[in-house]
Amino acid sequence: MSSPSVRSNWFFVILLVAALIFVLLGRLPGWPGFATITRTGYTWAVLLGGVALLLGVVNVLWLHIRRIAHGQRDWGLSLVLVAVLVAVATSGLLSPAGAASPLLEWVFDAVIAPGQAALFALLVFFMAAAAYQYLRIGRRGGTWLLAGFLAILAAQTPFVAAWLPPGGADAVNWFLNAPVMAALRGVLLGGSLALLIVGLRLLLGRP
Amino acid sequence: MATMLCPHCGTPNRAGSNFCNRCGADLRGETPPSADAPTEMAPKSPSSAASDTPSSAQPWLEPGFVGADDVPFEEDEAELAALDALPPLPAPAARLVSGVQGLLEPIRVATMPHADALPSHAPGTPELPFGAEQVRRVRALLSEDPLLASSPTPRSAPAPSLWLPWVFLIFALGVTVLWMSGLSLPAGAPMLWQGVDRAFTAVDRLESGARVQVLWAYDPATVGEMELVSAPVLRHLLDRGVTLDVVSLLPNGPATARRVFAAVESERLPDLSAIGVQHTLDVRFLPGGAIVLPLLATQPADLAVIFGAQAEDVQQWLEQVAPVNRAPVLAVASAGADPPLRPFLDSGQLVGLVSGYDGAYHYYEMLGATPPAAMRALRVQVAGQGYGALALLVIIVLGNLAALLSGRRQDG
Amino acid sequence: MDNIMAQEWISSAAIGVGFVFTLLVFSAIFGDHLLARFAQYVLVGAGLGYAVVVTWQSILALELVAALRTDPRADIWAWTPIILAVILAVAGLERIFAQGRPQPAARRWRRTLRTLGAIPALALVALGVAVAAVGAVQGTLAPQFLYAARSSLQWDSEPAAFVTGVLTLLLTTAALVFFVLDADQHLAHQPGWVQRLVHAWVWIGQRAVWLAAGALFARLFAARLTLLIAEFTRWPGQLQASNIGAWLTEWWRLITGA
Repeated sequence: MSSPSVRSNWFFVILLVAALIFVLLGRLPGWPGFATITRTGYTWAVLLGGVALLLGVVNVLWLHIRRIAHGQRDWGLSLVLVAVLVAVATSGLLSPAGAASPLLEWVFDAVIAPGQAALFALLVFFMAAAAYQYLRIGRRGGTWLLAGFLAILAAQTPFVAAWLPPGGADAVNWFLNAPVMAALRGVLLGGSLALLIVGLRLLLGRP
Repeated sequence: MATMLCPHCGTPNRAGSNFCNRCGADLRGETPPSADAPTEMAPKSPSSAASDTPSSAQPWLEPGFVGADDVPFEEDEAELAALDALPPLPAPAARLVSGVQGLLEPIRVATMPHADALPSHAPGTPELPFGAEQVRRVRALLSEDPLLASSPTPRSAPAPSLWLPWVFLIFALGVTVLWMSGLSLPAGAPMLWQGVDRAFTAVDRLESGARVQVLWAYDPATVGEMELVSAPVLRHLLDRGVTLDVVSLLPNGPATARRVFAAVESERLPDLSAIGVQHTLDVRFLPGGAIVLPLLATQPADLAVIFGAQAEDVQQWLEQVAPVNRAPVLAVASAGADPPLRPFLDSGQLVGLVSGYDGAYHYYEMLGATPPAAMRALRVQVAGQGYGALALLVIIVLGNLAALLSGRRQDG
Repeated sequence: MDNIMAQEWISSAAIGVGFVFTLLVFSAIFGDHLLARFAQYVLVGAGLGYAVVVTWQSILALELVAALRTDPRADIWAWTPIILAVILAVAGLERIFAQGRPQPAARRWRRTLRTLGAIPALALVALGVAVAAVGAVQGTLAPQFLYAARSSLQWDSEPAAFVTGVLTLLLTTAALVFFVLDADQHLAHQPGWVQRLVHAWVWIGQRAVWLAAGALFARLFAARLTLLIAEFTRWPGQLQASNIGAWLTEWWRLITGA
């Protein structure tokens, strides 16, 4: 009798083959009849994706409840998180307007939007810190990184760009659209190739 | 790979990370779980007990773990370990079944192995699309090595040292003090990157009533930049009288879209707004990530516009939707997403590319009418980018001086 | 409740709370402290709660209602996703709540539930892999490869364009080789000249990738700086337009005597 792991591997391979056929047929032109099946399948995926998302939230909730129950570090903040989560979710679910209810709109404008925007605005400081540490001549790759960085920085900063020699803007545009683009195309191809090979290896049961 | 668990959202982060890659929570002070001291949050499961690596104490937190983003639960019974027994998935595949992933912010910096921006881990630079980790993974995939088993343990990120606050201070002062002092930099127009004119032409060609699919792939986290970039294109689309079919894969996307749309409409039609005419935008939210994008491919369109904070959003559309419904695709993106999208612009898969505040500036120029508020915002950006660049150059010079004075080459 | 929310001071309060929130988040730059953590926890809680509502409202409620209105005998397909979703939810909840508890001996119902729960989860994963792999081939690999091969070497083009084409092809292939090839591992048994050639190719590819990373870093810096500048400019305007702005102005006048 085969072990559970072998059984689940085979089960997954069968599902993967079915999924590949489903995806490929959905992309073939001239199969209008299959469009309905495709739509149905992906609609199911939307529903399951929604359930998975909710499960993820429940998991986070449970994680914090356990932290509170065990009195771990920052359990008070976990309590705040749980209270806010439950309050926002309950008020939204109870309101007929849902996310468009005035209370949730207020939460969005007062908490979510400013908080997220501030978090991301902070990232520039860490980029400055990274630039300090890594854009150094003599560091491995540092000179090349610095060269690429300075070329684009000069062009994208208006008052510096004004000092560029004639043809400088064209040169930077060429730099972005030829060598940089070429390198990034190589990276893109490499990433896609890797994804393809992963699919094949999964299909062959050899992860 | 040594990881640490975000205390807020449960996301695994590289050990030593300052902030959570998913929710942005501050991780300084959090200690990565170690094999000999499992944390309360990460009870060690029998299935992982045999492993010595710290991260394997929490298999569901590994990016490669099946369903890691969806149902991060503990495996505790060997005969029921159906999921555990499955091969670890590559990050891109796991990304497609994202559950809580991407919930709090649109830039899923932890999904592809984006983490290594530079040759080695740099704090605060998690967003470049490739790095040592990704290279290593790809090479491992192409060889016979198992995907994760061959991972060399990366060097732990250096703890923030004394220089970090000074860099922050210099940058903050460089931007704010220069700004407040009223020092005016020589004016200049932002750079016109290739692709903006083609984007304008693609929209301008649309006839009234044309059907335009819109993927709204940003939320409040990046609205400061993306609203600036998307407003002129959205305005142009509305001027052309097209029918917009807007979808977002982000929970906060629809609310963001409605607000940006309202702002554009109020600038576009001040008279109608004054008499209370309602213009609303119906935005659908689809959970499940890129896995559900093929659903949109069944709908015909004259143009698809991706308002994306990251290149990945546009790339996913080009992979999942564009090959099927054949609608031309226009990318309206963050400046950071611009270089990775250039190959698609070059190959013609993108009919146009508008990125960053500079792209917005030139798109408005082509439109011929820049609203006063947008003009003010763009002028501030032009000045601020100058101050920021100056401050950063000072920091880079200091960094190089520090390396010179320390007299040793760093291996990076 | 809606009447309360419609009052003017509520919208002013939103601006005030948002401003305080922004300050708290920004304060993290001075190091880890309780207030910054508090803001982050509230933000995560509010974000998750909001996502629950949006997901329920836009997907689950609609699908559930639609399915429950159909007769399962007439249209079993309408009920299938609901059944799968319920199985996924129940099995997922069981596994989540089992965390951190001493595990009793496996019971039959639990084994069955988890096995059933794995079906929709694995189906979702399989579909994800299939979608990603097919999409990568059709949307990136094939068009990018074909375009690079077709457009780079156009013999009838002008010299400058031809040189650019050759350079593009060289750098693309070099970056790809650098990306996928571990020269030390893969070339161990190759002749010396092959090793030298490939090493040179990899060397070029590595430099190209570094150069591109620098360019990318510059554009990312512009993007993040735009966000910071937007924060700097947004708040003065919003505060000025609200009662809080007037109150702060008055307070400032009192302090400075202006």
